[in-house]
Amino acid sequence: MMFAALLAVTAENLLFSGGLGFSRALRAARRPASAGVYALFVTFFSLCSALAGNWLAPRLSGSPWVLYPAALTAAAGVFYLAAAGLLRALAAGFYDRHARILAQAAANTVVLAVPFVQRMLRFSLAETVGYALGTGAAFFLAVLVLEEAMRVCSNPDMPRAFLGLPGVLVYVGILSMAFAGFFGKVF
Amino acid sequence: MDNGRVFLRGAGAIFRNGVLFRNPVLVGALGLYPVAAAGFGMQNAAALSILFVFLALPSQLLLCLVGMLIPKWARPAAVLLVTAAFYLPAARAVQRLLPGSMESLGMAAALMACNSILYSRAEEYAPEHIFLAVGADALGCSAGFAAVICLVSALREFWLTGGVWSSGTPGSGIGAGLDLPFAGFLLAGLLAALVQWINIRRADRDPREV
Amino acid sequence: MNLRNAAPPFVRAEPTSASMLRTVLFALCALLVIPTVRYGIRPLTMAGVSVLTCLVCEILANLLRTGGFSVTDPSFAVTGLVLALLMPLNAPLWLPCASGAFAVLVAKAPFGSFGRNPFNPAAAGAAFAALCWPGLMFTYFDPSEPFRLPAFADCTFRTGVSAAATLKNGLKPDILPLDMLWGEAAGPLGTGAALVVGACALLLLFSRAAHWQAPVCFLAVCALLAALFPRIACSPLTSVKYELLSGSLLFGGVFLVSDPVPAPYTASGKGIYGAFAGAALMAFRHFGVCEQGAWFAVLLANAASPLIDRAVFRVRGWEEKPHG
Repeated sequence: MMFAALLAVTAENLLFSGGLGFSRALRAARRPASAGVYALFVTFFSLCSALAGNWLAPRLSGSPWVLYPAALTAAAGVFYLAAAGLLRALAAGFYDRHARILAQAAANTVVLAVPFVQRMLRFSLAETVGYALGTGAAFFLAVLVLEEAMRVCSNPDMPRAFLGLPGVLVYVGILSMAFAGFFGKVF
Repeated sequence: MDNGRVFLRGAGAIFRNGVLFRNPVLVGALGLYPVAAAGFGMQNAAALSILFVFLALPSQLLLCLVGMLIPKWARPAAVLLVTAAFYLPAARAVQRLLPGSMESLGMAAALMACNSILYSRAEEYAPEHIFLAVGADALGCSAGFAAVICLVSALREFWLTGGVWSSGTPGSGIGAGLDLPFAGFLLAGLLAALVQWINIRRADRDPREV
Repeated sequence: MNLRNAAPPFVRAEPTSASMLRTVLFALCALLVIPTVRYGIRPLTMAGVSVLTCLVCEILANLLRTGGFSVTDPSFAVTGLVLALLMPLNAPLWLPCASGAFAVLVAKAPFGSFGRNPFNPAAAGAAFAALCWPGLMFTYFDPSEPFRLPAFADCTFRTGVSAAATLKNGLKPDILPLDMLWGEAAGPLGTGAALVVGACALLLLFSRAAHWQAPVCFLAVCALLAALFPRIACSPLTSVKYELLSGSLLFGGVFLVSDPVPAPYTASGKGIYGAFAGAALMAFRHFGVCEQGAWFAVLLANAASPLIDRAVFRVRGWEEKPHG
């Protein structure tokens, strides 16, 4: 389980090796104060997504192939409804402060990719749980890195055309080369 | 008649913004996963573009009609359920138009159901704007996404195979490696710089344009 | 020679970025001597085209940014030389050119002028070449063949297996560690002569062109991990010798890790940065796809550098860099 978690942060890093969830990580980096909570939500929904994938896969094995992704997406919606409903009932203040990122965490491609990675790497249930936990940690690290990238890419010496997002994309592209040095093409 | 022309002009501006000046990928930093990870071949790009428009247009139009009836806190779930439902016919349509494309795309096609462009426009924009604007926005964002992913894919495929749309041979291009996500990020960054330069020039010429 | 009378205390001038770059350039040129003596002028032509490409790209970038032709610092020459020294001598001449163009136009120019690049440009250029043309980057001619490579043309040659590739396959290299000191093994152009690289390291440290913390911690962590987790069945000391002398580890520690621009601000931060780069490099050697991972490890460390700075500042209770 620990090894799977470590894989999620390093060689099988969905964000830098595959580009998954990058948009959301970038948005989270614009509000670094809530990065920790965002990563917690990503961990929670990754876990739910992994367990949903584990439950759905054998039941949909004989069904048309389009059903599995659609079912996973629908399951993500149900998990979000349950989580939002619970938080509104039990911790309304916390929900009001973090409603936006709760929704974005639930609809994150990195969260919905976990069941596919689980199938690709043939993880056991324990390894899947570890991978989901590692995904949350990887997301948090990515937010920290992107926060620094945005700071670097706002320096006045940069050409105006590269200020902000274009510079950040080039920054992430160069960093992604380093992750490619681990396992080459992964996703 | 005048109102109609104003509406159409407004819709045209919304469409143009979606394609270029407010391109969702290059300016909004949305939908980068398919561009980075799957946008290394024109057939992939075409399949993902068609899948996107078949998902985006009906989802956004439906949420435009019923979005305000759904409580704001439950809207994200509604978006996910709607896109999950529309994914089924959209995927089948793409499979019919480009046989074998959905299998070769694998996870990249499956994750289009929760694409961040789709989600963001369906949840934030569609419920609070009029039908024509939402339609123009959906088409504009689809065209913008398609333009980016097709351009990036063409460049990467040419590098890898020496041709585009399977006219080249794997291994006989300029080099390897550009099917890795880093190339997608770098090319997207260069294109984003180009769009930003265009927007800066427009702003310098006439700040009202931007 | 004009002598000036000055009153004590006699304080040495602080090194400037120009003086540091000159010292680094001198050290890099020193690494070209042995290969040139052995194999002809190809090392010089390779270095020359690489530096020329970097210069042209630097001019182009300046033209686009400021409209001017002038190049105010020799950092492009450092980038060009480092790239040439990281390539195999038998690589086609367009390979260092392509890497140099990437290094300057993608890894340096978009982020502003000299001193603003978050990544070491040479590491980025080498990583790009390794990912796009792995066959060309990791194919070496057999140095035991009495063979002089043509100055400009491509050539056919008998291939040799580098010590790094042998270790990657879990086997003990045929060559003795002692023979690896003078660059007599198959490998990149400038990384083989460990004694010369060591002398360059001393030059950089004593002339204060590089701070000692990052390279020393880098090498220490690499040695420690090589001893604790050997890739081959041998004694820890033998593992350390082979790991430190193979591939571009030593060269990377002296010329890439010591680059002050992307490195952290504080001394302790530099030490942590070097240690992180060392751990990353050994991880790449154990688990990565390429036989060499120095440039990938440096890129990772460059990205971690601001986070290391932030952590050190927080521990020391600083709000921001003391000099703003």
